[in-house]
Amino acid sequence: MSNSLKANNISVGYGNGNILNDVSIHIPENKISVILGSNGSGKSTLLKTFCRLLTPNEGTITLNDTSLKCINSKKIAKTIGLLPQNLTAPEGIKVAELVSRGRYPHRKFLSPLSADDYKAINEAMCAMKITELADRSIDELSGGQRQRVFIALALAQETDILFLDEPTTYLDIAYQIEILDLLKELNQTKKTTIVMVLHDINLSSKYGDYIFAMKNGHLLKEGTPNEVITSENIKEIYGIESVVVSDPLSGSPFIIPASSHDTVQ
Amino acid sequence: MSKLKPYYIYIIGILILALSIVISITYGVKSVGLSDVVDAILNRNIDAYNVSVVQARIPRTLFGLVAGASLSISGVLMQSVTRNPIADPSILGVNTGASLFIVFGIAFFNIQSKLSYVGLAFVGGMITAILVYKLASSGYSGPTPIKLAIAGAATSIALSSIINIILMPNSNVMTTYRFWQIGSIGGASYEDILLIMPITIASIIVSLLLSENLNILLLSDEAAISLGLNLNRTRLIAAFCGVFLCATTTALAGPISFVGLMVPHFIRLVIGSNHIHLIICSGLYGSSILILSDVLGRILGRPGELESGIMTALIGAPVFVFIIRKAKVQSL
Amino acid sequence: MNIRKRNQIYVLKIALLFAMVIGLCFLTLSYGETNNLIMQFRIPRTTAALLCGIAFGMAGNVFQSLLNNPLASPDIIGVSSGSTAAAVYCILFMNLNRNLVSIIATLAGIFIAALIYRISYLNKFSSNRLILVGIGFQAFFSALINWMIMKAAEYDVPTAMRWMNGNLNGIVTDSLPFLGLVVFICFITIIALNHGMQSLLIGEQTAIIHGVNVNLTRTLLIICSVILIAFATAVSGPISSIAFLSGPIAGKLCGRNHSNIISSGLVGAILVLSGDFTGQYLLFTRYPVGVVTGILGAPYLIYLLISQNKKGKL
Repeated sequence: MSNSLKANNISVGYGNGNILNDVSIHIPENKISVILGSNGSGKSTLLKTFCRLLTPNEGTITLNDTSLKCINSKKIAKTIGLLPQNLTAPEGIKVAELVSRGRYPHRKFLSPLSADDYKAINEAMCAMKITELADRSIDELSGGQRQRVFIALALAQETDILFLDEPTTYLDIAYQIEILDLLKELNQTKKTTIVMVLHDINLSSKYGDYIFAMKNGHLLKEGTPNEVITSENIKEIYGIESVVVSDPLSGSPFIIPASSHDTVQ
Repeated sequence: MSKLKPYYIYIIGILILALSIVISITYGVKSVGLSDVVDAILNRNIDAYNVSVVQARIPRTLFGLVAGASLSISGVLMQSVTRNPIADPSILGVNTGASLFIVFGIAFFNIQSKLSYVGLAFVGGMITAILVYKLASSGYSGPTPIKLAIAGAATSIALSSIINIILMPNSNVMTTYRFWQIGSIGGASYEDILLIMPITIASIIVSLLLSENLNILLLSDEAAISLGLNLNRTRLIAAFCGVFLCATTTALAGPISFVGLMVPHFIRLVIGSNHIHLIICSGLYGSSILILSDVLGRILGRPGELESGIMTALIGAPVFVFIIRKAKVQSL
Repeated sequence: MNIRKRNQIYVLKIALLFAMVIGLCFLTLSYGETNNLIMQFRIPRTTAALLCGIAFGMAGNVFQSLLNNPLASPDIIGVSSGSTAAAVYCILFMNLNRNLVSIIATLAGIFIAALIYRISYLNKFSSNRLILVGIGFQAFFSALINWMIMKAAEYDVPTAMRWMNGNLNGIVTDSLPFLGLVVFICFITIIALNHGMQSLLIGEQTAIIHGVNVNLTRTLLIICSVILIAFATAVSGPISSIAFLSGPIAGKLCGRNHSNIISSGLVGAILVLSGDFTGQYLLFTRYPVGVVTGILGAPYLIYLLISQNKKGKL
């Protein structure tokens, strides 16, 4: 069964000013969606609101048409997972141990890990290809390895919907591709709905099935990469001139930003 | 924001200082009138009770004057040398280091003279200050405020446990120590003041001579070197003066904390960080603060008195917290 | 997969620690001359050492874990000295009954903890700022405690030493059952919150995602720790370094993978029992336990500082 997650006319903000204004979104089920937008457009705020790190001032987030507020906290945690930005782990913790903490919502009061728990932890570590790292301490891992461990932590939670807030920041291109490939695989094998914020437009259109473009706290455009990534829309979202060509490997739209110093006409 | 003219600050400072001296001499468990004070100074009516009260209060006030100025200027120097707003004799553990050496001297070598106290306090304070600074500057980011504070707290805890080990089997030393470690300017005599005056005055003069160098030191190591400053020599001399000023006071009065932290901080807010003004004003206001907290201690602690060391900690600790709150997160 | 195996080893290590505690209890009870009269003094003393050790150890560990910083133990950031100041005032100046003192000290501790948290919370929480503010509070309360000791116990050095370092001489027997009950209740509560705390240790966001009631969990944990600190302090005085040392030692022994609640409590008990034993029998003068543990804690604090600096964690 797939879960339908919707934002209905939500406005979110800290204090008086709203960062998101009257946004309505229906997360496409079993797809990879990417939220794009310039800095400060409200991407991360939107993500955090879906994951109840922030509560909307107006409007509601609904899961299967029930407001999140009315659902038991642990029950939501079995459906919605998040990989936040800048995670830190307790010092000296072992990889396997960290991943096992993702089982929290499934665990009974005071009980040790169950067979199901072990299975989920194992699968999460296999999916992120970190099984050999199980006994290593998190401090000694490279940036790419660490990011995979944190994704495995989110996977161990076994949620149908997984949010990722800029999962590829600070990683070099090889790790970015590796992580995004793993996520794509996860989406195809387990039908997990994936929603992520990415900065790289070209990677977004390469991996995303559906794109939400945000600007100034509003949803500007949504649709498939081919519908959203056009040079008019890029101008509207980021305010820059660009040329959109076709990615020769995937056929998805690929943007080349224009500079005032470009010499070839 | 334009800073107030130092000129006014000096005048206000001198007025406040004069006022606090008068209050300190006249106010207390037994209040006396101004005429008694005049009598005491002119050596008339020596037998009158009030006059003798005044004569007992004069050395204490004078010592407060010297100690307050010493501690505040010591704070200025340490803050500039470490380029760190929360450096202070008590935070850097100088007080505890001085205590340890004095306790050591009393317990094992039966040292009694005030002069050797001062020497021991100086050596102990200097070693501790260097140790704490070295501890705090290991690692990448150099001595940040948090590292300095924690290194100081850690070293203080370490040294206090050594002090405890020495004191426990020597109950007579312990009794002396317990009263000394509270910190009070109440027990000072004219001899004490005469003893530390030369050191104090010399240190203050040297730090005033250094003030131009300290101004440059504040910029950054690189800038200071390219401007032709002998970095290490300036640091060393300033640190020496700072520890000297603090150690002399500590040896005689016990550890009096936080004066060196709060006074320069507020003076800097008002007149900026030109060291010549900073040092003089910190001295002026530091004296007033210490004398006034001593008076306050006498008022609050009636019928006995609250020692000035406790008063300054009670006033200074909240100020410390206030400074921390003001500091930017990045610098913590 | 070896999480399972490692968990078994963990249980084994806990059992070993437990055996050590039992062994130490017997040692302290049976060392040297034994007769009924001596046992009347020794049994309460050993019980107090055991309970206070567990209390300080667990509470310190919870603080260090929650603030994710080994330096953030309650005896460094001023919470303990806040409790102590309240306890000293009640005992020396108001002559209150010990259990009442413990309750007042607890309330004071919770209030101080909340105050330190509130003051250091500026736009966003910063663990470093909390530690610095705590050091300020620590200085404030030590001045206060020093002064009260000066005034009240001019000739009573043991009392003074108890409130400066912690001491197990002259334990008041009737305060022990209550302390035992409190330690038990807090222990159960902390264990019950354990799963939630483990998520919280990864980060607040992760905990919310996992469905942990973050505020409730954190508040309850802090209240439990402060209660433990305050009750133990009212009995033995603030025994130096136990709260600060137990968590890291337990972490070294049993690995950092568990929240180490049980192990840090046991390590705390071992430290107090062996510290008291050392202070009483093994040195040329009788030292109170706090002085012995203080000497233990100081080099570790400096080692910690250097290693934290090297890693650039500060």
